[in-house]
Amino acid sequence: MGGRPVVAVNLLAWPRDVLPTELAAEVLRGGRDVTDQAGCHLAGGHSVDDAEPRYGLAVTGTADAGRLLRNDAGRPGTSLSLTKPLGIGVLNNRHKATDPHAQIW
Amino acid sequence: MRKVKCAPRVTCGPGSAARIAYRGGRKFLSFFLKTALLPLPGRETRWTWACGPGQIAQASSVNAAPVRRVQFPSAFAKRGSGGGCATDRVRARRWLCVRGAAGGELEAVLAKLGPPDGTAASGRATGSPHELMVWLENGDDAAVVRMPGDTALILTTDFFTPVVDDAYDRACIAAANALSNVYAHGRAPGGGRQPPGLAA
Repeated sequence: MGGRPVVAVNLLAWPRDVLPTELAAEVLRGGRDVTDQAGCHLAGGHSVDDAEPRYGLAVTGTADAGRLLRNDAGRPGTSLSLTKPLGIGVLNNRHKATDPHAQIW
Repeated sequence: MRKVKCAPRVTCGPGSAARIAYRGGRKFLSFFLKTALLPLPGRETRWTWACGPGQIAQASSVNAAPVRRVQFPSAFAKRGSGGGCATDRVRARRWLCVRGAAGGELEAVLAKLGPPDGTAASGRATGSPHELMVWLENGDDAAVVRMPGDTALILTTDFFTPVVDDAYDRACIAAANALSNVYAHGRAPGGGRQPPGLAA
């Protein structure tokens, strides 16, 4: 199907003065469950005190170099797999442009 | 056994620096870059645990807690209705991606640095014996290096502010997004595990 994730580390930004650690535990539990499901090691991570909660992963994986899929290698006749309706990006940009809450930066 | 080594509390981090930089415009861009890329001692909390699938239950007290739903306070919950999460993703991509309508600013910043050694664009060799197959210029979501044995090593990262109210669900979404960058990058020669949620 695709590249194989091998190992991941957590990226966590947390407003320690505002949000409880129990909530951070829920976040980490979610990431762990997904990596477990993917058969990918979760080997630790890095956290910072931040004004807003953020979470994600840094992932290392492998693939066959001779059969690598790239997003700049499409040619006429290449098959496409759509995993969601087209236009999400356009809607996102509209939301960002019109929602006052989107201008917090 | 979860180990959390806490540094002295601070009120500033890379994220807040980013907002300051953005509000202040490009005047503070260099400040943002220095703060984000060169974290200062004492400003961070670093934690470590050693675990793999199956081991993490012992390494983390998280697993001992029963399954329950914990939601973010309204101040941190998803914004707007429906696709409120979209703003955060767009906002993040504004800085992370060099291509697309919102990528102009970052593209300009990176252009001043020039391409790194070891790329065709730079024309300079690098000390690494491994070919850099996919990098920033390709506009992909992951970097790829050719390793011995014709194995492609894929490296990617993705992180988000809350996209849904539930903390656990939010983490699942973020983790799946990060993992999907690897799945999208190659066709397994056989035996590769299916991504979560996809039928075999």
